[in-house]
Amino acid sequence: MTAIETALLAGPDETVEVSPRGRRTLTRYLLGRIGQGVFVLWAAFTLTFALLYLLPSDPVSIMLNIGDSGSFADPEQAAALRAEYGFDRPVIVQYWQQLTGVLQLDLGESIRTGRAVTAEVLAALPPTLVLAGSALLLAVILGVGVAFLAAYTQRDGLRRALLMFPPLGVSLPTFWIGLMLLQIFSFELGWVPAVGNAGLSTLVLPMVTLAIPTAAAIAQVLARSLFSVSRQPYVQTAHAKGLPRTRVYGHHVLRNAALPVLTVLGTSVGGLLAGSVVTETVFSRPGLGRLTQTSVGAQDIPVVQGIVLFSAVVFVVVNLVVDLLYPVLDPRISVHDGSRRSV
Amino acid sequence: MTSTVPRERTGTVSPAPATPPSRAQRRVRPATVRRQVGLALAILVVLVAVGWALRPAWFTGYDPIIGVPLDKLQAPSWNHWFGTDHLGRDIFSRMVHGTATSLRTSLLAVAFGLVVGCLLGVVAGYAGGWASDAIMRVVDVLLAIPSLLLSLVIVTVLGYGTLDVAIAVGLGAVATFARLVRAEVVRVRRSAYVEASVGVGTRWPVVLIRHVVPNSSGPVLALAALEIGAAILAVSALSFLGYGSPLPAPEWGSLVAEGRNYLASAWWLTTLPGLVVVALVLAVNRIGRAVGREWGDR
Amino acid sequence: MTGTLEAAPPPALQVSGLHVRYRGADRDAVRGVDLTVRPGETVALVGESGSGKTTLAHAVIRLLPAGAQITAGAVSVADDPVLTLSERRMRHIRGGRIGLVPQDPTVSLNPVHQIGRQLVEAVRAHRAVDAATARGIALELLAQVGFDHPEVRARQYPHQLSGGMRQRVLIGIAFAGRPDLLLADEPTSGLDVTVQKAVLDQIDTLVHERGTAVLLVTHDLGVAAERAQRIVVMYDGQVVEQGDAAELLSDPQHPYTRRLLAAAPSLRPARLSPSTTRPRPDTPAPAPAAPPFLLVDRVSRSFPATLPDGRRSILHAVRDVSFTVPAGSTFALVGESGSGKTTTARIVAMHERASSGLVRVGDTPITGLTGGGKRPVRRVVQMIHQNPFSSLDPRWTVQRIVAEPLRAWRIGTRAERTRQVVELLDRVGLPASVIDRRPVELSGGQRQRVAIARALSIRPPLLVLDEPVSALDVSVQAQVLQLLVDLQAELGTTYLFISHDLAVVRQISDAVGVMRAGRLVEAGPTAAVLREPQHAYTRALIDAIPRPTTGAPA
Repeated sequence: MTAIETALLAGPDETVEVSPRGRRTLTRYLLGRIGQGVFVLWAAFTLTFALLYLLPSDPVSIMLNIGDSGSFADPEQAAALRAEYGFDRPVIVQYWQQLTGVLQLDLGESIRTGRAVTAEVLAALPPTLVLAGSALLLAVILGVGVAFLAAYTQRDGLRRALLMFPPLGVSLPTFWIGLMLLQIFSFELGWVPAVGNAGLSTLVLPMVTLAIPTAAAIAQVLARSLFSVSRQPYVQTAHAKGLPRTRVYGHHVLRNAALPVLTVLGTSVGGLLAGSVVTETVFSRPGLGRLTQTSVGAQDIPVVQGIVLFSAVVFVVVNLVVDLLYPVLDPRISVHDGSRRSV
Repeated sequence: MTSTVPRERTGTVSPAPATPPSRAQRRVRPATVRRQVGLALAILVVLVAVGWALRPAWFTGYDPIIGVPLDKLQAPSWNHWFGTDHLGRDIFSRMVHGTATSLRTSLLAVAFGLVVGCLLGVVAGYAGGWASDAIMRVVDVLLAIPSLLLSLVIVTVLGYGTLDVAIAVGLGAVATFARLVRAEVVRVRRSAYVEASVGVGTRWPVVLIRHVVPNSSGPVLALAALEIGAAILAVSALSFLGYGSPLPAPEWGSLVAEGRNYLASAWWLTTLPGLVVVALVLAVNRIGRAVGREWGDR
Repeated sequence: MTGTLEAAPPPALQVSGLHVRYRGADRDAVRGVDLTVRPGETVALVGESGSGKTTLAHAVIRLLPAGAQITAGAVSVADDPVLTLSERRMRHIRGGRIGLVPQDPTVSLNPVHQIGRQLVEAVRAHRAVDAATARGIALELLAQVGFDHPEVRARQYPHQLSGGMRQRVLIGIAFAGRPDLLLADEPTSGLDVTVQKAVLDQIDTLVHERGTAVLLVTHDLGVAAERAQRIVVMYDGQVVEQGDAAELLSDPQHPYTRRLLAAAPSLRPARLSPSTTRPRPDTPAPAPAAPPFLLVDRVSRSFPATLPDGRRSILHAVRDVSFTVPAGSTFALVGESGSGKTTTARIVAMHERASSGLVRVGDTPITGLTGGGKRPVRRVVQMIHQNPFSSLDPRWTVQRIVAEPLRAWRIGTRAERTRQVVELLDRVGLPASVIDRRPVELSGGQRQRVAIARALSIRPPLLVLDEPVSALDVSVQAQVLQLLVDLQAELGTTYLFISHDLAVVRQISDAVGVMRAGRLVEAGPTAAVLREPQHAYTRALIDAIPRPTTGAPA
């Protein structure tokens, strides 16, 4: 137990004397958090480097797909590749070169296409952003809607019916949701085209597919949080004031129950990126997920590494934003201690 | 802390001041009955799946690999419960025979995540200080990479074997387990009964074994059950994307992937195998929640 | 409420034949209660946990927890039948006719909204005024409940206020809708004793200004005696006795009332003497000249800490505290939250390190011991925690719990230990049948007895008791205190007794030390300190002990 933990544990049974030194400002907090994020990114880079370049006995043979084809690759080609990627040099030199490259946003070239990895990723990004963004929005609307209605309603039957959806939603394989939607809405009913990326009509099904697991996760967490908040004494105080139920739930319960959902949102962004791999494959859409799938299939290691690093950046940025939102939602949390309270 | 008053806010008011009723004496409520029927159903589903995995031949007579070309693409019937595919293979049989691979991979994945995660979590929760910080930062890194992407990276390097996929999926669960275990260890360590146990003179290792481990294992078990459900989904997603056992061998995800090409004409190829996956994941999650509730009571 | 000239005005609250049942319970939590509160009258509803008093209070405003149902009876407020009103009309009763002062002020205000907003909301729920007017009324209410700078306070969040201040805000909220009846549900629980008195005084003042009737729900007969004109005693879901406060106190009819009266620490100023049921071995009477068994010499404890606003600071939990305790006697440390009494106790029990100073137990200096060096001393010093539920492992049986110290010190064989556990249980007044139960199956008093049995199993010469009875019901409190007195007489154990309640302390301790803000402000023989307090703070603590009035408003 650290001294501070002890102090916190001991609770109010102490007196406090404030020393004027050591006042931490918001900028310092921000810098600290950004530093933490940079550390996570560096570690993620190191991890992928270790996995992709050190673990295989010979990365070049993986890149040339020797293992699968069974035939011997052209030894000259292998040597050229080895020289190009510097595999003939000591590991630490390779690592350093890659790291400095990453810092200049230079992630090398795709083995498959020969284009810069950054260019490949940027080109694939827009359709995935549209898909993941709209799916996130839908997930929030659905998840919050179901959870709030379940907590608000006084009809046991409706509540029970609503509460059946979230556990079901988290148990559905994403690829299967996509296929079922295709089967019903494209093939049986013919409402929307099955594949492609041609505007809204082809966005709807992938969006729903990607949104359902996230919506279910949000609904599960929010429902639990709403029920526990609604039993809090301050909610009884609100009822005892004579407020209408809508105001008690909208104004008092929901606001207090929102924090855990924020945490879920922070982590689900990564899940949406990963889900786009499956969704884009099912719906044959272009995008980052499709690029991932092709690159992994072709063992295009630089591109795979680039995508992993990109998703780590997204995670770090989103969670920094989430951390900064906590104090806005709950005045008890200050940015200074940086602590999240789980409810 | 000088809270002075006994509380009597919630429904736990016991009318007799002497002794609260024991478990058996409490009257059974309709909600409890509903809950227990659901749980029994979930256990049944899991048992059937385990049966498929261990003794597939008991459940189906059809060969999963070699089909009867004349019987291709038949809709579900008494003879072929789940219909047949484009090679005339019985889908139900392929599902049953694929269970072993899918389940083994998922269980191995969770076992890997559980063991590594518990080790990291216990060390972090017990040691505290810089060791805890270092471990938790590593865990942060694992969380920062979406688990499916991490799995893809690992299968790229390791290959598509059962153990490789299991490690790929399990690594994603390590972070979740480590965080929970650390939190539990810290919570139990700070509890008054651990302090009381140290106070009466019990030695630390004994306290750890008799108090800390039993009291922190419940939530971890519940999480393990939920993670099995997640692992089944992850393993079948990888298999769907083509990272599983090589083809004629049946596996749950690849089975659905094969049916993709017949979406318009043979709905059963995708729908029914998917339903089986959903049923099993639902059942496992249901059991996980029940385990969690059992411990959450305290 | 202007009644006609002849007829008496309708009662502010009338409850008749009320039954409430919790789902799954085999009998009603409230069974056929009749109760009347006349306009302007203060009625105290007294009972222990499980008596149904809080359930009754919640039934009156129809805010029972899910799963509880009113199965029979009627409730009327003035002339409105509460139980048959629509939810919409019920909203006018809540807050508009009945104001609620809730149980625990620290959790009864919404943490994410400014207190001004929470007051304004209560005002606007019952008065058709615009936002600016409502804010004016809210600020006025804040001033009336004793806030200095209402405009500043209104913009604060609950966590920035102390517990007492939060309860004042809640009192303001209760009065915001100008109710005829105030429902005060244990309004001082969780508050420091001096603050308790101030809060009750505040309620009294507002009630007298406005002629509001009060139903004061409390576990403390002392508080009831001091504040109410009439007292209603509840036990096991029923009203066992009610009547004029002075009469009921001087001539209680029901045996339960008599038991409660005998147990109330504030109404029982004498020190408890050992009951004579057990033969008393020849323990030497604690003479003042006896060498101190426990010596605490200039002990301090400070923590580095980060304040909520990000500043680093040093917490001085204990500063320069010194006292001695002769063998076989009881020394009580009294103080409110933040006084450092618990930290001092934890230092003596070696659960906390002293920053400086010396603690000696017998001849052994225990400050400065680290790691394995502490263990031998643990046979000498045992501690009883405040909350007996959290200090017992929920997964263990009573047998294992009580035998744990014996096992730790390898005393006896398994069979011998079992026999010893039965003996110990008997000694603390528990039947042998509890031996296989788990803590969840025991009542609060039984749990604390188990904790005492565990501590006593290795016969420690020094027992540190951290608020050992404050989580217990009054009547159970009295039994446990009596048990402690008996055990001391029998075993000659030295007690360091921590409490916030001088009324309890005067029943059990030979000497007392009063702590405030980390310092020991006064110490001496209990009788002397209580009779002639030297320090102003000690006097304030003594004043906070409720005293029965004759029923007339002060």
